[in-house]
Amino acid sequence: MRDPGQIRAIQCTQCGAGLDVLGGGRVTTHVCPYCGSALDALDNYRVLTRFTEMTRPATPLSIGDRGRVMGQDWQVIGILGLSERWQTQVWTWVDHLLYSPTHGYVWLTLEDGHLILTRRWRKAVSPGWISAAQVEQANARPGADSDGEHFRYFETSTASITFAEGEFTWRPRQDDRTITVSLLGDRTMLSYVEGAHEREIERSWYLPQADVWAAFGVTGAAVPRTEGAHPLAPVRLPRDLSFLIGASAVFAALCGLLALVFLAMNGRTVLAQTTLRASQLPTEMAFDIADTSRLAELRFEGDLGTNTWAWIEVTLSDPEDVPLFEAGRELGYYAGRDSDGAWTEDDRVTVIRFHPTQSGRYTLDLDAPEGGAGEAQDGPRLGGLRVSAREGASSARPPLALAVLFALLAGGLVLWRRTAEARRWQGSDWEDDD
Amino acid sequence: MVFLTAALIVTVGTGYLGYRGIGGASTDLDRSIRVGSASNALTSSHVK
Amino acid sequence: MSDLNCPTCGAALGPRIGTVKMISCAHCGTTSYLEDDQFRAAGQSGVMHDGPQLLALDRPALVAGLRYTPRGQARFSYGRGEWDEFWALDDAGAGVWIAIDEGDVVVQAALPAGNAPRPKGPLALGQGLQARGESFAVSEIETATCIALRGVFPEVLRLGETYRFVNATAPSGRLLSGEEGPDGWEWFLGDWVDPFEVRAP
Repeated sequence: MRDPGQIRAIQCTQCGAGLDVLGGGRVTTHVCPYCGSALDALDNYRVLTRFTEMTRPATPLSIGDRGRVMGQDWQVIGILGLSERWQTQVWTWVDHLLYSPTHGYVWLTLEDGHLILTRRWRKAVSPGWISAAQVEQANARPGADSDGEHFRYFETSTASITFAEGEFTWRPRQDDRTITVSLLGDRTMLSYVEGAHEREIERSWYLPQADVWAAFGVTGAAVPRTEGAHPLAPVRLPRDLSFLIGASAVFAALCGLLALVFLAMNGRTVLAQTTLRASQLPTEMAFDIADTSRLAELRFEGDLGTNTWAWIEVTLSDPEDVPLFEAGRELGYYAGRDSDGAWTEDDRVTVIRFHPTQSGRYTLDLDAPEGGAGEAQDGPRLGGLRVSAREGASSARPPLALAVLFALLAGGLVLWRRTAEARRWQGSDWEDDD
Repeated sequence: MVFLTAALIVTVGTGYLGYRGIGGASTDLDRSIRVGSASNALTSSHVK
Repeated sequence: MSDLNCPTCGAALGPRIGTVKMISCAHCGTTSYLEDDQFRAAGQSGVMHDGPQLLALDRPALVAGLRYTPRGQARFSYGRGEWDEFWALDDAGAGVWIAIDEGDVVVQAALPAGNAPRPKGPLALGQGLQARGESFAVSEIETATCIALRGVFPEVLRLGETYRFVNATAPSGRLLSGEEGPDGWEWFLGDWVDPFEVRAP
C-alpha cells in the first residue's frame, strides 16, 4: 500500500504535463498519456523510454474512472492496447489495469465488446506450468486443475503491446511480447503467462456486462457492442441439465423394461393351438373369454411354401352372436437372393388383438378365400392354418412409446449441451478433434 | 423435482394403459359390421 | 483471562495473551515491552495512517475460511510502499502473522527452531532452502523499516528499526519467510490467500 500522506500528483519530467498518481506502492512505471514517456516511479520519474506512434485503442474507459466489480471498488490506473498477428489476421484488445488498496491490481479486458476480469492466481494449480512448447508437443489436449475446476487447453496467443498509458507495476515496452497458454473451464479461464521477465498464472472471469458498464458510468450508445460469443460467456443452459439428462435416460430405461415385462405378460390360453387343413376352411371355432379388462388375441400361422401367399378373413361374434369385427390379413413367405445376398420375408404369422366387450363364448368365422404364388393370384396356396387364442394380455406399446419419448428427450438435451459446448470451444486452436 | 414427479406420473399412467392393453388393439379391425349399439347404428346409417 | 492495560496511560488493550511480549498503545502513542514480568517503555508507536484495509485491529475476520482476530498491527515501509503485518489469533488462541500488501495476503506461522532452515552464509536470490521437507527458492530479499505499531505482539519490534526480510517460494506455492533479528533468522511458513477470501465472519 502507499502512505496516504504521499504525493498524489507529479509533473511529467519530459513534457511537464500534470499527472495524477492513482496506483499503490507496487507501481514502478508511469507512462505519460500526453507524450508517451515511460517514467520510472522508483527513481524520481526519470524518463526510461518513450512510446512512439501509438494508436489509442477504442475503449469508453479512461484513467481515473472508478467502478465496482466483483464486490470491490476499483480505479482505472493504466491502459494497454494489445494485438496479436497471425498470418494476415490481426486481433486487438484493451487491458485496463484496475487498482484497489485492499485487493491490489487486476486486469479488466475489453475484447470484442466483452468485459473479462483477470487476476494473478496464487492458489495451487496442477500442473504448475504449461509452456507453449509443451502444448506443441502434446498428443492429447493438455488439462489443468485448480480451485475444484477442471480446465482444458483452449489456445496459445502471443500478444504485443501497441499502446500504453498510466501506471503499471512492471515496465511495459513497446512490442514486448507475452505468450499466453489459456485453458478453459466450465466457469473461468486459467492462463499460463510468460512475459519477457516473468512467468505467472492468471485466472479470468466473465463479468456481468451490463452491471459493470453501469458501475463505471458507461451507458447507452457508449457501451461497446459485442461481436460474437466469448468462450467465457455463460451458456444459458438449465442449471440441472445433467440431472434432467440422467433422469430422462433412467426413465427411458425404466419404460423399456416395463415394455419388456408387458410383452412377457401375454395372458393365458383360451383356445389351444388347433391345426386346420385347407380343406376344412371356411370353418367356425368357439372359445370362452372371462377377462374383459385386458386384451385378447387371436394368433394365426399359415403353412406356406416359398414365395406363396394367402389371404385369410376373420369375423368374430360376441356371446350374444353379434358380430364384433371382421378383419382380413395376408400371410406370405418369400425368399430369394440378390446382390446383397440371401433374403427372406416371413409373414406366416399374424396376430389380431382386441378388447372383449363382455365375457362368454365368442365365435370365430375363418376363411382363406385367396392366395397365390409370387405376384400372381392363382388360387389358395395354404397348406394348413394353426389357430390359437389368449386372453388377459398386456400391451407393450404405451411404455415403449414413452421409452422412445424419454430417450428422445435425453438425446435432445445431450445434443443441446453438446452444441452449446461446441460453440464455446469453436475458437480453440487445438487441432485434434477429440 | 417437478420433472421427476411428472415423469413418474406419466410412467405409472402408461404402465396402467399398457397393463390394460389400451392402445394395443389391432387397428385394422372393421367394426362397421357390428349392429345393435346405438352409436354403431348411427355410424352405419351414415356410411350407408 | 484478565485485561491488559497500557503501563503508561492505563488504557485497556484487550485480553491478556500468554505469548505477548510487547504492547503498543493507540491512546498514548507509546510502546512497552515485557522484561522479567515488568513492562518497560520502549518508545513511540508511530503514526498509522488509516486507508481502506482488508483487516482491522480487534475485528474478527474469516481468512480463507478460518476465523482470526487481529491483535497487533505493525507497518513496514519498503521505500515506495508499505505493508502491514497483523499478529492474529485463531479461536484456539494460536497466533499467526498475516502479511497484507495491496491484495497480496499471506498467512504464516512461526517455524520452531527444529524445523527452520539453517542457511550457511549470506542468503542470495535463487538459493535453495529446506523447511518441513519442502524445497524453497529465495525469490526476494529486502529491507524494511518499521514505521508504526499498534496493539500487542509476541515479539519486540522497534519503531524506526530496519529489518531484513527474505521470501522463498516452493513449487506448491507455499511461502517461507525469514526475518533477521539480533539472534539470527526467524522463519515463518504459510500460504497465499486470495484477497477475495478475506471477509467479515
